[in-house]
Amino acid sequence: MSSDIQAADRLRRAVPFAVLALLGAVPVVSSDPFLLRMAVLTVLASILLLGLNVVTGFAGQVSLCQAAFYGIGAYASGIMSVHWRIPMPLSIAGGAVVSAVFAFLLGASTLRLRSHYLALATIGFGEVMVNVFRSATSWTGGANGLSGIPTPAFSLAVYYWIVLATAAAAFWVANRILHSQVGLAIEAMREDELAAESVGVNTRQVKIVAFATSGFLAGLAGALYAHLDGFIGPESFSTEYSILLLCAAVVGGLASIAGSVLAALLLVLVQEYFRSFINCQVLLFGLTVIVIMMLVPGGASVLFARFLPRRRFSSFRAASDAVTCREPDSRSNGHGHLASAEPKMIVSGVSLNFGGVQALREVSFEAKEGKILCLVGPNGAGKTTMLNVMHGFLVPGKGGARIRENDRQTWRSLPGMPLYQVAKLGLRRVFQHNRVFKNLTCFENVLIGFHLNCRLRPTCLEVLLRPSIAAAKEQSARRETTLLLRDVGLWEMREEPATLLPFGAQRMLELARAAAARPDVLLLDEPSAGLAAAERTVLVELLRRFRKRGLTLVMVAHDLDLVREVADQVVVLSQAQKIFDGLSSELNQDRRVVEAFLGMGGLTDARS
Amino acid sequence: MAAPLTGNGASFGISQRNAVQLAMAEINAGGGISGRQLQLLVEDTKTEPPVAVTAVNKLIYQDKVPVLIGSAASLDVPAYMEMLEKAHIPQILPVAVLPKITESHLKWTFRNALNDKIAAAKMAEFAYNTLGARKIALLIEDSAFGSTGLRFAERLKELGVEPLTVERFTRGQIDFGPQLLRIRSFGATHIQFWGYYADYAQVARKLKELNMKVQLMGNQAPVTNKTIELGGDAVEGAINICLFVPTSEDPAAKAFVQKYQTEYGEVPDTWAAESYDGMRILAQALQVAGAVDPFKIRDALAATKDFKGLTGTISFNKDGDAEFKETFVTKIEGGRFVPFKMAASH
Amino acid sequence: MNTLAQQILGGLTTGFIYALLALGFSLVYQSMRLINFAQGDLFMAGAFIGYLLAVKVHLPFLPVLVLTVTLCFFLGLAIERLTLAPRSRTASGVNLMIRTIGVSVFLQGSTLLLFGTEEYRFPDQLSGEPILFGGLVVSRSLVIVGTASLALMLVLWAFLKYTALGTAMRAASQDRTGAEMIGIDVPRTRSLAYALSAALAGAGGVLIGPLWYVHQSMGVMIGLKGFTAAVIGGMGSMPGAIVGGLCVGMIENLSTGYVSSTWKDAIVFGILLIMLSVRPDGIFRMRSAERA
Repeated sequence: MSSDIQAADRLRRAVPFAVLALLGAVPVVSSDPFLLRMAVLTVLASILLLGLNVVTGFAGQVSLCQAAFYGIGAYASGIMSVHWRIPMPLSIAGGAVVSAVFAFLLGASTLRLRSHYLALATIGFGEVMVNVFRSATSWTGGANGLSGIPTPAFSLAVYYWIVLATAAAAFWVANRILHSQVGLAIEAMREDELAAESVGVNTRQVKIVAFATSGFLAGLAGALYAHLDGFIGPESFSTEYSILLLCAAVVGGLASIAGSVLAALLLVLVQEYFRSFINCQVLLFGLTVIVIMMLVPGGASVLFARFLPRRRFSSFRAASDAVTCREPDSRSNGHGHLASAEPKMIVSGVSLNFGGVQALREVSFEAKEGKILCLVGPNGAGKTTMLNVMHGFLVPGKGGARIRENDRQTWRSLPGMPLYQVAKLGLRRVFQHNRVFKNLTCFENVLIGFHLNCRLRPTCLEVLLRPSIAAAKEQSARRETTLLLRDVGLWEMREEPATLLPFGAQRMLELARAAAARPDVLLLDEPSAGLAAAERTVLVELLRRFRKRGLTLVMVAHDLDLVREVADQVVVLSQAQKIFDGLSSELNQDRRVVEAFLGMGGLTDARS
Repeated sequence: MAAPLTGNGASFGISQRNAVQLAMAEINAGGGISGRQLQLLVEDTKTEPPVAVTAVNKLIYQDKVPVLIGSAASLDVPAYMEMLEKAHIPQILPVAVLPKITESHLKWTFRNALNDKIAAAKMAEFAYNTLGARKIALLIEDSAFGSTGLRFAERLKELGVEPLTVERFTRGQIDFGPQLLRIRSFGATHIQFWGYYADYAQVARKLKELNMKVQLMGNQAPVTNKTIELGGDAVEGAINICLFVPTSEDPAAKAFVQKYQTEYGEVPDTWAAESYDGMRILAQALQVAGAVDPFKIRDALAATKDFKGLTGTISFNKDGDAEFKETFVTKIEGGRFVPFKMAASH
Repeated sequence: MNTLAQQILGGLTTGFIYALLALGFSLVYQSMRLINFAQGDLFMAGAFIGYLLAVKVHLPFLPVLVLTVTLCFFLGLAIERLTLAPRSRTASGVNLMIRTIGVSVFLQGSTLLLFGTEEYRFPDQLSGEPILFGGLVVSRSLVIVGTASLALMLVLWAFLKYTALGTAMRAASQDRTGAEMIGIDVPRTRSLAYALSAALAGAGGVLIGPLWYVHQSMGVMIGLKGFTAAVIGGMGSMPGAIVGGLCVGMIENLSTGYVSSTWKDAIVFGILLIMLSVRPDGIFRMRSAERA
């Protein structure tokens, strides 16, 4: 069965190339210049839309200035040809590069903006560019447009095949990368930026590169277009067109490479052959977009996914009956007494205020390597806040947290460090409110856990240039993922989107994802909350296994039974202060702890 | 015919289409050309150059028309005129006024509209000679279209007067306060406007609101019914240059106005008249050519001499531009375009 | 100096209209964490509705304003109920944003179908003798537009502050879960926010109609500039919307007067980009604006 799935997957991936090949046959089949022109415009549109799909569909950064990048590429290429007499191939490449640079700058300056603000920033950029196109008359020809751009000496059919070849190359690269584990990281960022950062994805880099890519592709299409007619005008690159492109991409299917081609066909064909319905076109387009977003967010490519379902990272037979041994763990086992163990993380004198509320006051403790530390305390005591400080994204007013690097004996301070770097130091987190990648399958959710492991995750270059190495790495990663899924009992659900899982199962999924990286430190926030009894057993088993492997665990827990079962060390926080730090067996004897949990005078009520 | 039926140029494109259809119906009713009936294929350019290119492409390659009536939108034309040169298909432009078109040494494009540069020069002469204006400000659209208005300033300087200031505006501007206030501070008595009708109306309304007592003068483009519709009583008294005044006493003009009004329910503007003439010039050329051959049609067009149309007596010069013996200046009075005076011929 | 003051004054009229739109953007953003891309097109819809009422039904200005605002309110309500509310819990932010883009395109398409691309004249009920104020010419339209805008904003403010429904709206926008827990019908407050925002946009459309002309693409630029005003003033702040709107209006006029009308849009949007990178919270910082 899995070979069917694989075959279907291959067929699906081949679709855009099939369409391009069909389009390639046009000049052979017909000598009508008009039809040829339509075909050229379609292929150019597909390159444009591929770029948009990369940044908006896959990376989740809404870009409403794709037409502006199209224009930058066209004008840059045109200006180079007309004013500086640069020969065509160079000017086309130049157009693409200039556009990529602009896109890079835009991406870099809008890093911290969330989707809505980002979308409007891109519109603002687009409007500025259109204004420039229209007004910088000495360069761009102004409102009259730039004319006299050299058109190729050879026939339109040959130019068309060149354009087609360029498109095919772009699609090939996109296909390889977006369907690899690199592409998975990009989509994970789209789904949940914070969680993606926590597994080591450098989201800033991804965003900038995604923008630059969309700019490059749009610029390439623009440059090719400029030399097609020999004339370009500023009105072709308006925000209106950017919005139209986005709508088309939505209809074709965001995050679908095949969708880009479908959308291109739609755009050109509908505009051309339904001219008589011009007045209804716009209205229907708007309506279609609304309906699709409400009912079928995946766009038209979803329809076609019915027949050729997407099984990007499905496991196959080799893995399912694998009884292979795991990767050996190089860490020392964390046996021995608590007191004699080496500290792995040190929290010293942390104080933190939220507005007028003091969340933490002078809290200090040490988490020992290979031991389980439980942070316990009544609600509002500051436990999750403490974990956030230890994870690095909350910076305390006073004090700090540091982690000892594994291979050297150096200490690194955590607060304020970018999360993906924290992940590189071997720290992983399981969040209190589940942060799984909702629209990715369970299998993919765990697979992304291997993002930082260079033996199990190929780089971009490897994906493109050393396919056998990439395939081998992917194979190994799949195998490990399978084992992990079995460990947490989610093997049956591997192809389901994570959002369909019940709460407890999502928690286990997150745990598996964190474990995949073989972290040195694992921060868990209320891991047993909401788990069914069976899941809880699995959890305890896993925690013990991690400890045996030498992981340091810091766990916020409300469940005192769990604490008793697994904790080596307990730190009790109450009203922002640490009131206890010691063995769990000593917990009940401590007066302050009992008071904090049970109220004054409740000594005899305590469970022993 | 490729014409802007939607978009900014729709007003002109629709006038063009209506008049051409009217003319064609008359010709067909009279037996057609050499016994053959004419057929009009229309494509909408949406006032967007890339769409215009595709539209013309379709007409000449798919529909295989032997001759094209070109777009009314001045910006559409430069996008596709080279294509016609290569494809050897002639076109006649009854409405597009952009000077650049006939400055490009094209062999296959003919224009019976009034070249905007000539219009600018004539307005300057009119202002100087007939109106005796000496304190003139220029208000031009900040685009290639509007910059033709600078020819007005040039001609004025040749006559010995400098414009007080040259102000620029962007199309669709809501508030003309900034520019008009500056013009007022220079003490201008006349303003020469160069742009499209909507902005013309806005300027007129703002002048009224600011209570500025200046004479508003304009280029050809605002000579459409839309100006009066949008400007209301603010545009009363405004003066423009054009090729046709619908209230003219000339019997041929009256007949045309009558027919157009009956057919389309509104008074034809100068663009309709030019398109009517354009179609008839084309028909004459087709007659002379004798065959549906683009080369022969082209030669026949080039040979057009002293054609008597609604817009004057027309001959094409070697650049493809029409040479007019007369132009008109019109004034808006009582919500209509009426003749001001005949401008002197050169 | 006279001219400078005059130029600034001239920009205030459009500034008030930008302020109305900015306020609408703020309301929706506060309530739904959504930027309503259709805001500019709701403005256009208001202008067309006002046009029809004034020209076909021959109503005088004040009834036109009131009626249009009411009709736009219901239009906004309908749009929110039909396109945004369904499946809003599971939809991602991007999904909802694209829905509003779809609404925007749909509105533009409807007007295209019904009215074409022509310009239509709104009966001129706002102009008259300008008022002379210390050497400056204050146009009557400025006074009327300013008064009407401020009146509308005052009504809105009073509604939000003093009525139960308004307070519920404010509560829901601050903390959705908390509001739900105390029994506030949050989806209803969201619909209300959108409807109010549409009403504001519609008011803007009617107020600008007599100053300009009504046409199908009038909403695009104005909507963007309204958003710029909201960003400059600070999303979620009523005084911010007013200040932001007036700022944008003034910047436009000053750019036209002293730089060149060619670059006025680039200047306004350039400022938008700078604000977004440097101080997205705006002048009157109300909410931490989307910093990761």
